[in-house]
Amino acid sequence: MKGIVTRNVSLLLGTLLVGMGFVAVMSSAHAAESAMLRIGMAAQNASMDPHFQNSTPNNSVMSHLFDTLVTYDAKQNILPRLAVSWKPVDDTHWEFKLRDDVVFSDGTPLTAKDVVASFARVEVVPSVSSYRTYTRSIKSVEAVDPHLVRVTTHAPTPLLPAFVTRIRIIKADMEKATTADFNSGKAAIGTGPYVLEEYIPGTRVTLKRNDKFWGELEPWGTVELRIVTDKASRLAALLSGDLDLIEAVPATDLDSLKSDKRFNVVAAESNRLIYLAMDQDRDNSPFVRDNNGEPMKTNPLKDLRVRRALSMAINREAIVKRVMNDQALVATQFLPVGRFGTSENIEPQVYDVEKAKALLKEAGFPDGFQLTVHASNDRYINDSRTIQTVAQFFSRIGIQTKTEVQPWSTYAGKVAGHEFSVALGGWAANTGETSNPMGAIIATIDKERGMGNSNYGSYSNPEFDSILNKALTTLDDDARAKLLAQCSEIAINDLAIIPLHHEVSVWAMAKNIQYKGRSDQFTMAMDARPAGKGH
Amino acid sequence: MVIWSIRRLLQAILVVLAMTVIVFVALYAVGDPVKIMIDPDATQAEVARAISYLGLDQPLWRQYLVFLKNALHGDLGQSFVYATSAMNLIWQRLPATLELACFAVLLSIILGLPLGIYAGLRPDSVFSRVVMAGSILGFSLPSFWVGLMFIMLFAVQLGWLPSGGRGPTVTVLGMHWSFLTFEGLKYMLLPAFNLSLANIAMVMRLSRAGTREVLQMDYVKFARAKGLSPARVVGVHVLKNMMIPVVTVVGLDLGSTIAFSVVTENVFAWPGTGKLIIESINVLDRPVIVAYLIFVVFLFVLINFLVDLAYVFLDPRVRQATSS
Repeated sequence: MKGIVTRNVSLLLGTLLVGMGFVAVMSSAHAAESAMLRIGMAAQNASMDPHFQNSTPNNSVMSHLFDTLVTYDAKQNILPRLAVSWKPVDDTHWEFKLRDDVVFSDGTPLTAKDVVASFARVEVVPSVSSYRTYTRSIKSVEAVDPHLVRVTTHAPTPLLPAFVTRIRIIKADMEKATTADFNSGKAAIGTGPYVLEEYIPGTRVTLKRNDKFWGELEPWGTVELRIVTDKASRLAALLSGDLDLIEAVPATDLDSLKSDKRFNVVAAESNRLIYLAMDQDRDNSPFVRDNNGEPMKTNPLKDLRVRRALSMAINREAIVKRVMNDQALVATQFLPVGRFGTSENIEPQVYDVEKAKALLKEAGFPDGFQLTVHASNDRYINDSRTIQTVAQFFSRIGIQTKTEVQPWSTYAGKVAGHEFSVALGGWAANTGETSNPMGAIIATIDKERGMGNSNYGSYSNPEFDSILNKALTTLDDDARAKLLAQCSEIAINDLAIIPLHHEVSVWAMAKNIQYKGRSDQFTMAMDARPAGKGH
Repeated sequence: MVIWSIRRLLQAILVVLAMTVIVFVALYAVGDPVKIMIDPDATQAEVARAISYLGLDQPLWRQYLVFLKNALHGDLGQSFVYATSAMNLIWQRLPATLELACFAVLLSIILGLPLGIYAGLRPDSVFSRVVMAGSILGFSLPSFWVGLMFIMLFAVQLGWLPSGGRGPTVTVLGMHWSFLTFEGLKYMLLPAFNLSLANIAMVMRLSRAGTREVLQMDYVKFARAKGLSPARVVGVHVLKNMMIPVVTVVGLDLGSTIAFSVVTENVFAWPGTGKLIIESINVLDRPVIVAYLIFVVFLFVLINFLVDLAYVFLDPRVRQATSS
């Protein structure tokens, strides 16, 4: 009898112990599950309203809370998101089939009505940098049935899926909500992997995991997006363990970070091209002078031989290595080769001082001329050092070159107003293909259609324009890619612009975090995973 | 006293008017906020919509008159960037800056005053010489560099203090404050000390010079001759008389520390008004810049007023002059 009792007690104890062990395992698993991720953001988001201001910091933050119909992967290929499938029905109609298992974080299921309301709200939200840029080709959006959305466009719009990657879906009954309602969190109800916990403008955005999320749940219980605009402070916060992951790591600190065993560095080519625009419109360009400092009768920049000489005079490898600390790729066209709409027939520009001098001579400028080149000093990575280096290269082929740099706040208006002769520009192809940069920076200026909006050099080439316009309305992907490649070849052979390099974005993180960098320069908790957990 | 205050206020209003005209014209000359903020892909129609939404399609003089009219109704305009009231943005950020600036000024008094008086009383001691030599560093080192060194030393190497940010806050009267919790104070210590370094040096030098000067005065000699304890001589007769220049400078300093702690706030990612103003200038967010400068003008008027009151309290001669 006694023996049985003892045995029972020990059995009981055993069960208890195992049970406790199990609880312990559970709680440690839970601790990992509710881990916290602290990200240092380089720029501040303007609000928590997904339709208010289109900018990279806003888009990064909003992607945590709100979903889009389709989305980009890290290389800007289009992936399904709220829409399982989509197709053009005819030239001007598209259908997006919605997932049927999506609920908002308050439990309401997602239907086509929410999509219609979201597109409608984009049209009315007052904004300086509106998402209407992405909806201007759309005539109407209708709900065909609760899980089917039909989009009608004004003209054939092959880029429609790329455009809708920016339109975030809110709840239909929040269509009339104000930006303030989103900032307070009242209206900030989305279908995304996180829900908003707290938003302190200029300080941080605190997010909690959305346990009702339709996809795989996030490993991070809490995510803090902290705004640390000073790059040295951001790095110090990572080094001291106050942050787990930072974006926009200063290139000068990369070597010491890479050699530090406590941290990982991830680099990804961005879709931003840094280039020189040249005045190809005026005969008397304001910053081109002859060697006596007098205005010239003809504008040498309109001569292809001169443009070729300028391009040939630049040692891009040296810029990438010395100025950019290897955080850039030499550019030969609008996007790195292999991306949609690039051409494989474009050879990298050879650096050749003698040949450049010969070209100048052939063009009738054996002694060069005087030139002032302009750039911003706070917009792109090392922009002012880049332009100074370029000026030195130009001087070597006999063009007496001066540089003038200014902050973006004064530069932006002047460069858009065509006030310069040679200006440094940057363009991030936010559709991930080449029609976007080409349409903006070299297509003939047409304000009505929104073409050539950033054509700083007023370049104009009818042959190029007609092929580009054809491409813009060609729905067939292969045919469009061919047309865009042809456009790229025409533009680069004619040196519509001088491509310099593509920026590389760099993230740094604690060793226990795995991160995938992205070409659109978004920084998102969804790309971060605890190390050793796969993905 | 009342007339004097009214005159001060009128002066302030004139300064504000002149300042708003200058800011309007200057920012107009610098550049176009729409070109900075707008999506470069936007069509002409969208650009026009953005311009009219910001009210920038009107001629400058009319924009200014609209601003004046709204300002008289207490509305200083909506931020171009955040689409919320500019004044609200400033109020949101103000507690962070206020507590940081007050803490910094407090530090400069707590550390600067005793050290300065000691150096004044015993100018030849080794300690005094070291302290005075150190104060030159406080003046001359650039504060962003010192800030970064602090971060490297105390946050990165030693790990004692957080590297930046504001940390946890407590909400009192609808505003977030850090100084009420120990954890919050830890976040405040480095930026406040960084901000106060130059002030400590200045208070130290002023109080040293003041002490030495006052020590030569007849009334101090009399007090000593009368047989008062050294503590009373220093604590009452010397302290009260050497305080006047210190109060003036600390007052003005408090103003500029609140208004222009831009560098420290940036280095320590401290979300105060200094960071707000520099970000607003970068994108030419005119309503915020104007509202902020108006606020600064009134702040200085208020501080000058308080400093004058402090004179009355400290110096009996001023008291008599105002009462007669």
